[in-house]
Amino acid sequence: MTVLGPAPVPARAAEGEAPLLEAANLTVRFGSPAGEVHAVEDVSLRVAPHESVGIVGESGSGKTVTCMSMTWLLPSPPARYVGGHIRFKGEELRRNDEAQMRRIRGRGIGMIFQNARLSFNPAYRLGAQIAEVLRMHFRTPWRAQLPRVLETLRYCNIADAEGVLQRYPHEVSGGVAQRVSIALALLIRPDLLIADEPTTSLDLLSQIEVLGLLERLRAETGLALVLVSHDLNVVRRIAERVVIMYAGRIVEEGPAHEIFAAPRHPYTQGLLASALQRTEGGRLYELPGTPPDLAALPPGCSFRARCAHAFAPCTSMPPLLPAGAGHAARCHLLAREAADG
Amino acid sequence: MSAAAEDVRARPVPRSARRQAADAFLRDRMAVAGLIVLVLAHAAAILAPALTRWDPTIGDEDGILVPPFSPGHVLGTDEQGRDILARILFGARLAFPEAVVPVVAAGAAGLVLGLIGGFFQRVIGEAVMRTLDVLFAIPMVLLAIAIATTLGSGLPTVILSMAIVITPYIARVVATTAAQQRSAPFVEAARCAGFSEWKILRREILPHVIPAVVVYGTTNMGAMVVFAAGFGFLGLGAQPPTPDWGAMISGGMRSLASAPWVSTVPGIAIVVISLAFNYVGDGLRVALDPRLRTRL
Repeated sequence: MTVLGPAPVPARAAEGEAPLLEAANLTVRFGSPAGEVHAVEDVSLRVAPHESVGIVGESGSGKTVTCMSMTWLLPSPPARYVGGHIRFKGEELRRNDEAQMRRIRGRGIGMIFQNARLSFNPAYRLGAQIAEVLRMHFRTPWRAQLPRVLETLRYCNIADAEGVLQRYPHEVSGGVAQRVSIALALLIRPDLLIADEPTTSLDLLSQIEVLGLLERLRAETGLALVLVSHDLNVVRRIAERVVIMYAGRIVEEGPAHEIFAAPRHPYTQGLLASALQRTEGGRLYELPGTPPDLAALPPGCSFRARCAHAFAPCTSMPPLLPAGAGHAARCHLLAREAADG
Repeated sequence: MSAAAEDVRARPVPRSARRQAADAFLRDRMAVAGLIVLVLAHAAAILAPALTRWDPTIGDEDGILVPPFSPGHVLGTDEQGRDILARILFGARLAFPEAVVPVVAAGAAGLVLGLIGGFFQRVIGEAVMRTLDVLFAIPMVLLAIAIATTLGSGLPTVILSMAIVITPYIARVVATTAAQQRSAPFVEAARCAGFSEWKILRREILPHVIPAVVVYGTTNMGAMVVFAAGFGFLGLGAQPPTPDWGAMISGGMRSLASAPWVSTVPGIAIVVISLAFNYVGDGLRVALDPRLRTRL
């Protein structure tokens, strides 16, 4: 298929393959009047080539800050990068190296956002904005790009591709705008696409369409995908590996099927129980309490106050403990189970 | 598919973006009326010597304080017998530069200062904005008069002091718009796509700042007409016998009871031109914003 370029690579990552993206011990804080907000604490994340990773957590759990930090996008100040390294394709991403960042952003790591309509400049037509980005990355004339642009837009289920290019962002629906931004990402062909809540502001039908598109894109192009969502059902559909975040930390990560079938962290268990299941009747489970204030985190496990299983060791922060192949959870219960045999 | 249709598609931005703006402007009747008034008044100013046989500086010995609609003097004459129509027409030759030049100058200065303050921010931006705040604290008219009295009266002084006085206002409009757009999601998206800061400024910020400045500036030109008249009224503007609308009003003050037209006619001219600038500015506001101009 011409839209997609070279033949697709098998989607599943080989075990032990060198990671495409590797974030190590990322810690990001924000100054605020209430004290320093610990937005992201010691997050390490690996994305293998062609892999799809879902990051799940509620608002303020650090998902977006983690994603933005992958290309050092957060303005500093107010963000304070306390620590951490990012390696992309084996290359260390330096925080203050603007030239390197410009090379990586877009071409290496692409992003699509929650509100696609707002991620286009309201002063220009969509066509002009696509042209601008393509001109920057490829230096070929628009006229030569146009057939590929139209084809890609149609691939993204935009029937009136010519018409959409002539529209202003406010003249298209959120769903169309999101598909245009996916098409734009597809035109630039990043190695890694970070989709930050791509379906959150869309109606249900558009959500299904955009998810289907991302799924198809991944299957056919083999690009690596980081899908951020607060919605487990969205992640369940696409991700091969799932990372659960809570209060700025990774609390559990593992293969998607294991996370969904046998979650080990009480928070993940609560999340799963509260996700809507069509087959279940009765009252939906609610996780008790609210997430802690990131400006005044209590010592110990951040989830302790809401956890039904909290016991004495929880007053210290548990490390990520192995819970199977490629599966880990930040919970003292795992240590107790291991000790009990 | 026709060749013409093919051609339109090959262009990323069709010519009709400009066309759309023009259409939106033309839909606004007051803006069109304002523009017509300005064009006619400007043409009349340029063609002043051809439109009147009277010299605006030399009085007609026989006709002091002739009322309007008299033969020979359509708008009457003033206390020195000078034809008011001639003085209005020649006065317009001052009124337009007095309205436009300070705004254009302040627009350029305000754009630079505002972008430093609103887009680049940091320490230097903070310093610029706080300095402008000091200027805000001084009443506009007093500041202008202070500058004018320091530099001496005359047209260049009027223009310079008005430019200095409105620069902080324009800079603030620029800074506010730039700061707003700076954190907009589409700017973040542009940065994500690998745009450099300069490119973001040029492609993402300026397209929002420029229309804001144009609209604000045009509306300000109306205010400048009034402002300049105030200078003339106080005797700080162009010196007699040069015809100046503000000076004409103050000249007519002495005979206001017996010959009200001497002050009223230039007053009406000031109001009409000032309103025309305002309506044009308002029309531009709609025409330059794609979200306002495309009513579906």
